[in-house]
Amino acid sequence: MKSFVKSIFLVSVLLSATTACNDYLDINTDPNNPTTADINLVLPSGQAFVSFVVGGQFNILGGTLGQYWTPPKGGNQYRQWDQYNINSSTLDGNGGQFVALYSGAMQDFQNVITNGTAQNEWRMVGIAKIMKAYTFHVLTDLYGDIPFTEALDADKTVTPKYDKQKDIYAGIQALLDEGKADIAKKQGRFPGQADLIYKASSDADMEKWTRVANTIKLRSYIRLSQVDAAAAKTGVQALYSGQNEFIRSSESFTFANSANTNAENPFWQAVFRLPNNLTASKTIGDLMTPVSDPRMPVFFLDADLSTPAMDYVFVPNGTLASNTPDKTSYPGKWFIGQQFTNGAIRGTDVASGVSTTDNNNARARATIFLSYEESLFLRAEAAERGWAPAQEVAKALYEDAIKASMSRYGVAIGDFLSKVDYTKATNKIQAIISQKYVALFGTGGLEAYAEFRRTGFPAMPLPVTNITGGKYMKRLPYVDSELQRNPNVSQTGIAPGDILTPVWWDVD
Amino acid sequence: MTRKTTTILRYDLDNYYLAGFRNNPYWLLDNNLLTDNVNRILGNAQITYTPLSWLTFTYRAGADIFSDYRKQKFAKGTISLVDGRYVEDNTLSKNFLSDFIVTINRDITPDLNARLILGHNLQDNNTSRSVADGQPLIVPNFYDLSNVTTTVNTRADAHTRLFGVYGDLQLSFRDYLFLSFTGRNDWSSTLPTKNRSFFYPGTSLGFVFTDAFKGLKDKSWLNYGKLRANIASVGKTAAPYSLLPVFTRSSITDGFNGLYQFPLNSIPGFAVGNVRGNANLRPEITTSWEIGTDLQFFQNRLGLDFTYYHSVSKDQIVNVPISSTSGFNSQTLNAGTMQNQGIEVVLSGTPLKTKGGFKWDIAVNFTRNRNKVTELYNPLAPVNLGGLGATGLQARLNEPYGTFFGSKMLRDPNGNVVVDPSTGRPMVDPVQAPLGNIQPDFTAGLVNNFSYKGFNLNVLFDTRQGGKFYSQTRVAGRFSGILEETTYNDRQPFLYPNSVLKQADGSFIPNTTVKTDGGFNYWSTISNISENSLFDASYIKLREISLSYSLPRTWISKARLTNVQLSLIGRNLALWTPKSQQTVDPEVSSFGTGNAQGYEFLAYPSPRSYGFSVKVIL
Repeated sequence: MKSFVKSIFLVSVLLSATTACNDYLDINTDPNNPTTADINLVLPSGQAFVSFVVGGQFNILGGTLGQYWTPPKGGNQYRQWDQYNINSSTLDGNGGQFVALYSGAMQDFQNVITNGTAQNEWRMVGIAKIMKAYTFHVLTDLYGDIPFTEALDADKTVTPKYDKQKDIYAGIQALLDEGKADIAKKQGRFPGQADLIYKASSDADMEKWTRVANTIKLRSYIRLSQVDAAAAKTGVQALYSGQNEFIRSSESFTFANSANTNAENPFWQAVFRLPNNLTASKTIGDLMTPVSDPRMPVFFLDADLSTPAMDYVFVPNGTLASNTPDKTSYPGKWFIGQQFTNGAIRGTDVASGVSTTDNNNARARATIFLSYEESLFLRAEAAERGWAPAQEVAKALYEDAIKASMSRYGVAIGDFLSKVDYTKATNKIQAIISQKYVALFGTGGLEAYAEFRRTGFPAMPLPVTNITGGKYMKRLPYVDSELQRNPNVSQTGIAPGDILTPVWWDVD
Repeated sequence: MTRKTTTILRYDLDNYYLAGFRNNPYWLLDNNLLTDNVNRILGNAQITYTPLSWLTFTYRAGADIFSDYRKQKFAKGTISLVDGRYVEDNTLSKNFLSDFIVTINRDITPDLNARLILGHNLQDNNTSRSVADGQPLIVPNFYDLSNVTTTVNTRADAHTRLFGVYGDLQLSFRDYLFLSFTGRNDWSSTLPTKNRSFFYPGTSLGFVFTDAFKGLKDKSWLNYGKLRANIASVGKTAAPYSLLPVFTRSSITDGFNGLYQFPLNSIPGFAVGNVRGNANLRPEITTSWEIGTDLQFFQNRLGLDFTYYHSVSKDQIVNVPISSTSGFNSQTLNAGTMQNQGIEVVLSGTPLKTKGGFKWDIAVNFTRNRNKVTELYNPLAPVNLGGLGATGLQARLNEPYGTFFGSKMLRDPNGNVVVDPSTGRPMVDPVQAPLGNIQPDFTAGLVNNFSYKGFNLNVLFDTRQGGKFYSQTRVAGRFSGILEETTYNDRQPFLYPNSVLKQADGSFIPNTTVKTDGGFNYWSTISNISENSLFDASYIKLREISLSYSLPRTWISKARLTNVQLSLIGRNLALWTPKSQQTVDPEVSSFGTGNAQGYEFLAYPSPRSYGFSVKVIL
């Protein structure tokens, strides 16, 4: 009996050592994460990454460098940004924005493009290309030269080369044309609910995407007005001569947020997590106060919340906490709802004058990538520069843009247009950019910062305290993760931590 | 409010100013608690059957099962979690081990003994972790998952199996010549099918020559001598699920607790995962050989152990961070080959031993290791091992493992620091560079032991010389201005010593005019340049002094005790560091024992401790 048991045991050991062994070991499939996912699941993820970064931390960053915001007395979260003290670690690490846009957003778009192309899902591919082009545009405006042609293809290289911004701009235009051409094939699924921007479920919806592509093209060409006006002009003229339409009223390029937890507007989320860290800058205040801009009560909170009359207290950027008044104007209820404390008054108190409804509205505001009013300002500039056909009238477009902005904030325009009369403006471009700057307040920080670098409008004083020895910050420094992992970053010739060298299109 | 009048709080929330960054730590202590409940069961069973005097069968099974249930509370009012949060984090780990061993032990001739072990080994490790993360809280100060608006559930399971067969043959001749051969083959579940089987053999030889040649023993100065040599390989497998890329339920954060969590408004979303799969992963094999000798002289008054070793680790499995512009953030790779060689010497002796019972023993140990990365998967690109901020740690070809890499101050050809013409602060060299290595030149220890009639005094020093480390404490101390160095020039503007300015024609002139500001911005610039936060990791430590006294036998024998020993012990009593580094204890690694060694991230220094012990032996 004993020997029988023994031999059974030995046989079983030998068996498991040979045949059963492989089955026994075939357990190396991740039980928690799938190895495949339909492109309809990946597209919304990519779009959400863009919304979260562009509408959240990048919006605050651009809004601080573009002087919509500065820190209030008690809030130091963004004080270093405000003083241009931004180093290669600042936007890196956990949740870093450069990383989130490449390996988060654009890797998802690339997945939709690659798999969608194989499946002839041209509608989804077109959307993914337009989103990818938009994301590259955001990144290159901040960083200048970045990986483009060799990026997002790990099978080929994990150390992509850095392309010149000039080539990236050409590449973005080409990518947008491809996206439009893909949509024009009218082939494949509509993304429907999976498109968190237009919920595109018909060809009429897909045309909105085509108009977005055209408007990004317009924005990209106009950005080159100083570095290569001829190319900008040719590009814009080609857009018009091709009978291309731009974003229409009430179809702004925006990402839908909601009042649900972990789906709120990213700017609201940032202010909710770290309240009382942003107050309105004197730069925006000085633009709006002399013309009694009717958007002021929406844009800013009353500094002390206690007097019946609204009084605004704006702070010059770079002001030290010790020189900052105790009570200053926080972002308006349209943006942050009840997420503030003002002395003894909390945003949730009745005395604050901000209701729960206001708060829920602020949570649910869409992230704005490119609004209808911005498209009108872009067209106004194209017209003013003589790059658009005769039916595009700069003054009318400028006024329509301002009206569109007023209507977004539910504000009666009154006689405002007469106070910012286009015909009286000595510098029309300045007038357009300045009003665009106001219209982008709180939502388009990155664009405000980019347009200031391009045009110098509106005039911005240097931050009172800055670490650059009195020079404007012109770019973001390359992040540590790139400096350490991609040796090609040295091809750019930009020193680690450099924030002063302008990007290619920023020439004066 | 009533609470305020009735009890004295140890914090004053209204007047406590922390600039919105942090809650009052006492408030956190009173409100935000982590509870951790661990239950563990260990079990072993063994059956041994000896059918013949020289043959034994052994079967052994073991289990180690534990649960770790954590509850983390964040009260309403916590900065960055102002509406509160409650997290349940539960881990269940089940580890099983099975061994079947056949042992044959026979004297082949009266002089020659052979022992053969054949074995079969199975390991099954299963961990499952589930996290329920709920926020915001509905009823304040009540922590249950029913009391949150939204719960995000995640699971992380890991299941690995390893299957091995092994053999071990040991031959001994007359108890002075020993020869062994070992071999093991493993099959691992975590490697690709084609690479999952790996074999690693070994052999060793030991020779006690003082026993072999009796004549030697008569030499009064040498009483024991052994030579040993061995060569062996060891295989190592990978972490589970490293082979295929996956999609992950999309969850987007900004590092400040902001979050988009899919399903977003009930729309599902999956992101392409950020860890690149590696379907060609191979096992890591380390092959090492060593030779050594153990010698005892003068009736064991002097002893010497000497070892020379050489090891090569091939196909090292490393989770390598990669550029996000590739679409991924990391990949598990057979990243390269690393070589270690060195000597270990232990010299021990008894310089003094009196008839009166006084004895002084002394032992010195010395280890010198030379490490070199001899092969990289991509010879052109160093492998990143991780790091902190702007200062990374890399494996670079033909350099020792663990080279710091980062930014330097810009210098002219004479080595003078170039300063910015408008700020007077050092400029950054556009080219990043290697900035030194974590590997020490040598480590050593010295033990002195004095004993006299029941009293015993033991004094232990140890040292590490050479190598560098990164200190975040130093960076933070400069940031906040608490370090003495930040008071340089009373924080007033000064000329950076021996600095130069770069002229338009590329030449350099001494800087005699442009002063830096002396405060925060200056120190911020200094700390942002990697080389300024790396320091000499050398130290000498008085590691331990213990004084013990054993009560005389005569006192305790009536109580039927064998020994009663009373001791006073002090640990980490003194630390000497080089003049250039007087701020922190370099003997800490904030990232545990992973790839990224050499980082001190606001770590506590090794604690100094004093103790008293009573040892009673029946």
